[in-house]
Amino acid sequence: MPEQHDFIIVGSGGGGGTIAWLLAKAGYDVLLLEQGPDFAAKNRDSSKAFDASVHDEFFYRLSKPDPKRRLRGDYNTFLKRDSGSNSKPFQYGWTASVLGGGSVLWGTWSFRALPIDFKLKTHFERTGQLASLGAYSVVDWPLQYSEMLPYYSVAEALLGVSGDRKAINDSIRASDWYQRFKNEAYWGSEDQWFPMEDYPLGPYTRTPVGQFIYDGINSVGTTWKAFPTPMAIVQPGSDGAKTRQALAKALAKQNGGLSSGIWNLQAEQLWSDRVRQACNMCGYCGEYLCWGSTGPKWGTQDTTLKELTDLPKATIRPNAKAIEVVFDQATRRATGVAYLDLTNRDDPKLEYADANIVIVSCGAVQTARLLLLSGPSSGLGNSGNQLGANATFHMFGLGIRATLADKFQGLLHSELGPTGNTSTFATYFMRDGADTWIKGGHITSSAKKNPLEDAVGALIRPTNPQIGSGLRDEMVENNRRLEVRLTADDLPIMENRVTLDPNYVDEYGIPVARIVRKFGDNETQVNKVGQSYMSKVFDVYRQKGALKGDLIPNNADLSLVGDHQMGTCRMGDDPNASVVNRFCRLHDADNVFVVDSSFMPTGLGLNPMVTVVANALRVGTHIVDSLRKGQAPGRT
Amino acid sequence: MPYQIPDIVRSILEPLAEAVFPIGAWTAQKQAPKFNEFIPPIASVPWRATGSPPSLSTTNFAVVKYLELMIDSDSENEALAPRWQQIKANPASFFKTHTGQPMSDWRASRKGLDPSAKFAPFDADSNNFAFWIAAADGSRDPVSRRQFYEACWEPLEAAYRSVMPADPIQWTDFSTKLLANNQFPGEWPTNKSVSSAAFTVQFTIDTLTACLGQKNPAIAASDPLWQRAVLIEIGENRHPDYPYGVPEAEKAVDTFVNTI
Repeated sequence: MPEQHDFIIVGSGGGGGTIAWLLAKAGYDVLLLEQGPDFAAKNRDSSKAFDASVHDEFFYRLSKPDPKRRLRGDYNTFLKRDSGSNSKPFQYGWTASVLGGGSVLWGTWSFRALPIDFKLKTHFERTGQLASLGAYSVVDWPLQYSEMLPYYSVAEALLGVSGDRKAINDSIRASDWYQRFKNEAYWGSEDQWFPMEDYPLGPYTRTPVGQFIYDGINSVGTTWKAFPTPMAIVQPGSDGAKTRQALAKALAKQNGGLSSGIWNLQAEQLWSDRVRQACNMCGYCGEYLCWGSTGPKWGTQDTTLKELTDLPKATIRPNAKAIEVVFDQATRRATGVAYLDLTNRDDPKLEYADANIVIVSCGAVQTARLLLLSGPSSGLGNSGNQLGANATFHMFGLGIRATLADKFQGLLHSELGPTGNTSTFATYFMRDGADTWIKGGHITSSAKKNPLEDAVGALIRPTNPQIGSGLRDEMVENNRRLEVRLTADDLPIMENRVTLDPNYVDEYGIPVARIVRKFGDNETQVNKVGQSYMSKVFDVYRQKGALKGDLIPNNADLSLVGDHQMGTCRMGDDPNASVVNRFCRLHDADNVFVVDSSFMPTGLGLNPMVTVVANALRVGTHIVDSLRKGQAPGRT
Repeated sequence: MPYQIPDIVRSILEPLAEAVFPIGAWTAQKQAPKFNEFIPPIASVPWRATGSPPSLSTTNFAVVKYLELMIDSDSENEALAPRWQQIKANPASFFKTHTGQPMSDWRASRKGLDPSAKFAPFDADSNNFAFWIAAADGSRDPVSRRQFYEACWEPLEAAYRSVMPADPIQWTDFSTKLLANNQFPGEWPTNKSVSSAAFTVQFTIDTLTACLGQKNPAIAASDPLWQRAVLIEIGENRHPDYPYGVPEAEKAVDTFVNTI
């Protein structure tokens, strides 16, 4: 007799961990499956506020296989579309294989989507650009921004975001693209663009790298305004993040925006009195687990999942790799999930659990893979041939590096705090012609964190590897380098998709995910215009003689995928053009939902995590409301 | 029994380490670090008197001993390599499905899958497994760190002997030739299971990690400051176990802005 649950949730990151908490808090029996181990429990001494003994940059950033990003023997393949080549295993396309998933490893840049992100098709129609974007499948989201808005407030409370709302609002308002389009009817209202509520915590402490970019941005002109990057890291020097109080504040401000039963609970009923300690600025959190035991850096593992462990009907099961959502075609319902118990990875045990509702949240790549492994021959939710399609990953790698003059030797202190520190929205749309604007994203300062990583990078690159004096020359200015990065939107293309690799399998014989991708003309232009925009930040320093040598532009790397996975299970009203409906339920299955970033119809020019958490709250609220009314959730 | 690199190889690796990662030349290009500007300030360092120039070399970091310890502590790769070999030979070794179908039937039932399955996290372009050797059929076989390096000792010694008549040996040239991969056709032919380039890259990574990784067990008995000696000499303050604070960050910003 298999174990029975109200819900099985596959994946413990920002989407899965959040909705698991909400459903368990509503009183349901929840089983949360996570393919990775509870890495912190194994490696971190929780009796210490910060356990620095496990700071190990080589092990966590450079050794292969990376134990927290990819299970051993698990990998993805990559195929450059239209190249005529075959797919090959590759080093990127990572999935966070650890309890807490991507929420544990992310960079913590905590932005809401902007209202225009939900209306890109309308925007490009009105500007006359849609015809030139014929290769793309740009659509509007089937939601109104106002439907997501209350959940953004709750998400920011859960994450304990440190930031300066007014400065962000000022940056958007001053931008020339905002001024150009603000009066368009589709553009969204002032209260959507410029929320008034403060973040739960004040801005993260400014670092020398952040100050340098802050002043550089503000020197460009009146349309460029810098702001402290909002981060899900507890503000240094503060007395900690008090999630319960932040939740109470967020709920009080909604004025009925959140009126359903679960949100009528008092904050004391929703969250414990746990306090997350302030960040100690140790700087080891970039794509790492934070080693603060109470979660100075937000991840579900140290926050939501800890709350979940307090609830009697919730079970968290790490080392449980889902291999199939078991589906009954006759009833159009999933019956449960088959998974491998990898407690002993050399000796996998096949297990199965029943559930009334299955929620998949493995990240856009692995969610597509799991659904393609499930249900009918072509995959569960794939009757419209949309599953895996329209995958977007942002244009990673797009940035400009600068080297400071010799007099700054030892003064940059890049070790202080996380990688990012200062941002601007001046580049969210970029002028490419008299009145043509292409979609970009925000730019953010980036501190060089690790000389060892740069040294190894110079050594293992495919062409012209360096040793000896060549290596020395590349390293000599390492700690006077910094970078700005553009988190640029890559527009969705139907053929950019995740499939099952026709040949390659993982350690357990299961087909791995194949990522098929190509940049279109839009991305080529974003690369070019983006470089021009970013270089402006350094103009003032050129004049002051603060730079050494030329700026070094980095173009986006097509194969550098994985950190921001979006698309693959597009949300839409039309079953022939999307995979899930507005409640993120599969069109083809009455009790299977998807709540990671794969639902996004278009990407964002910013980190998707806050939107993932907000959407999981939205979907979870809908499910609870429906069940309490005796209705089947997910019906539109 | 702790692994011991043969003496002749040891005598090659020690100067080779300095050639691939010339610490002395690197630190000499840097402005001398101001110990009072570190957070927290450094009073003195054990490797040189205050005011005297930096003099570090890879020898200080016992690179060869580090390599031996890495080989000794490679149980994960030693266990995984034969497992990967097994799965490479039979990708269905651990295949299980809810329906109980064998892999061939299951693959036939899924759209878009070829009948043949391939397991290859160590294939070309993949960065999922660190150590491999070229198999006779041109594919890659995963191996342990020990197997990887042991495949290198003989051709390395032969290549070294071929340049020995030079007095003194030009270690920089020697390392460059090893990286080029085709400079020792008789001693280290390109069809060896581990190429001279692959050896040079891996050996340099291990040398870098010994010197910059701050986790070098070969110098664990020394003053802990040694673990970040190179980083200190190049003005890099980054190290574990350090809680910064807002005042330190504000002071760093002030100093930086004043310099601009």
